[in-house]
Amino acid sequence: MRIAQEEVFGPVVSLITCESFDEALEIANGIPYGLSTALYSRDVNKAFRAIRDLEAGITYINAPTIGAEVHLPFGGVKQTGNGHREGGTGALDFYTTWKSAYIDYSDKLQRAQIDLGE
Amino acid sequence: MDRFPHMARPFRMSIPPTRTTLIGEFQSSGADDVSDAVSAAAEAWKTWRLTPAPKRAEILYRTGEILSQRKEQHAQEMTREMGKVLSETRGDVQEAIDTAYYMAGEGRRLFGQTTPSELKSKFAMSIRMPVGVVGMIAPWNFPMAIPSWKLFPALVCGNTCVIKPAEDTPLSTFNLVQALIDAGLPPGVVNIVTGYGPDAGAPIVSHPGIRAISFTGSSEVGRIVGQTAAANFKPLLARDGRQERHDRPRRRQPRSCPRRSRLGSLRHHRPALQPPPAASSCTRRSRQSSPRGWSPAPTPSR
Repeated sequence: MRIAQEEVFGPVVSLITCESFDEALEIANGIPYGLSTALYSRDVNKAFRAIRDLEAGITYINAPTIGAEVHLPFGGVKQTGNGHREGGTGALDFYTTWKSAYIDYSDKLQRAQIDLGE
Repeated sequence: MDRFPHMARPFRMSIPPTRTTLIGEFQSSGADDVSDAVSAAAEAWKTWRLTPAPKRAEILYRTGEILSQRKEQHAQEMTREMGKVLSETRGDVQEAIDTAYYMAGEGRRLFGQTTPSELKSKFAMSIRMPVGVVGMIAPWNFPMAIPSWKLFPALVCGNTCVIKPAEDTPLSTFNLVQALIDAGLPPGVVNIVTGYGPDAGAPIVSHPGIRAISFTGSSEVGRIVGQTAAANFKPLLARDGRQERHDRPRRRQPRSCPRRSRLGSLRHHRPALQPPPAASSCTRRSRQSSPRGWSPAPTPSR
């Protein structure tokens, strides 16, 4: 169903019936994108399974798929992006580059990664 | 690791430079082998991702112990395979052991974050999730250390792997993965695809079932890998070519400084190979800045 596979920038929602929770997960994951997902349930087991198994960068339980807060990573999987995140520590990861600094103050030759059995 | 079902295209590895002593015979893999490997990895991921991280880590601990027991054997085989001197190859195996223990420790960490929410009665957290099947392409110069840097963190995080070692050094990757298998790694979690870049590496990068790529190699190949990965929205870890620079300030040189700098430049050479890619460590010193008028101390004879 094309309308359930493509991004629709309008007030349209595809309501797809399913027979089971597993099938619902399958339908939700059966798209090339993975930004935001939501599950409405009072069943704590299903809630945690949804968090674990929904292929998306964000999963809401008992809340709509909008409502991300700035202090947690924002972004998705599959064709939603390339793994980087905006927001939270994800943003800091992207906008910084690591510098590893080693200071040898032994005043002698010390061989790293050469194994002389010393 | 699945043994290849169709060993139809072997290539032979021999000792440089005489090329008379056979190191081994490995599959010259192609896209069909990569496809098989990805299928095995995807199937294994269904259960590996659900294996608790501390349990995944226990396999890495055991891998570290096994590598420690086999260290001398693997070092000698690595020296035969690619020509580094034994003190270097022992260090290479030790790096894999160190990585195994370090990443095993992460099995009881992999911390996420819990944060307050802007709304009442709402809970917010971030969790580390595995990516899926990860493709890895490794170079010849650290043939056990670099595959361990790629495999072990990927595994403890719950990913499954398809790894292609350099065509010059398949044996050391086999030894590494054999240690994982002997430590209890389930079938299909790590899959080795041996062979050449265009035949076996390129299909890894473009395969739709592979969710992320970790590549170490030349900048030239890295650019192609990056373009292909980007076209498929794949996260890419690329460590490409570089030139290391040593800057020598004018005053107060430690006496051993020239010798130490040479260590960074000339160690890790591969005298047996022709043409010689001498000093082929990725962090070797290739440029050095010195104050005008400075002259090096006489070269020690060692």
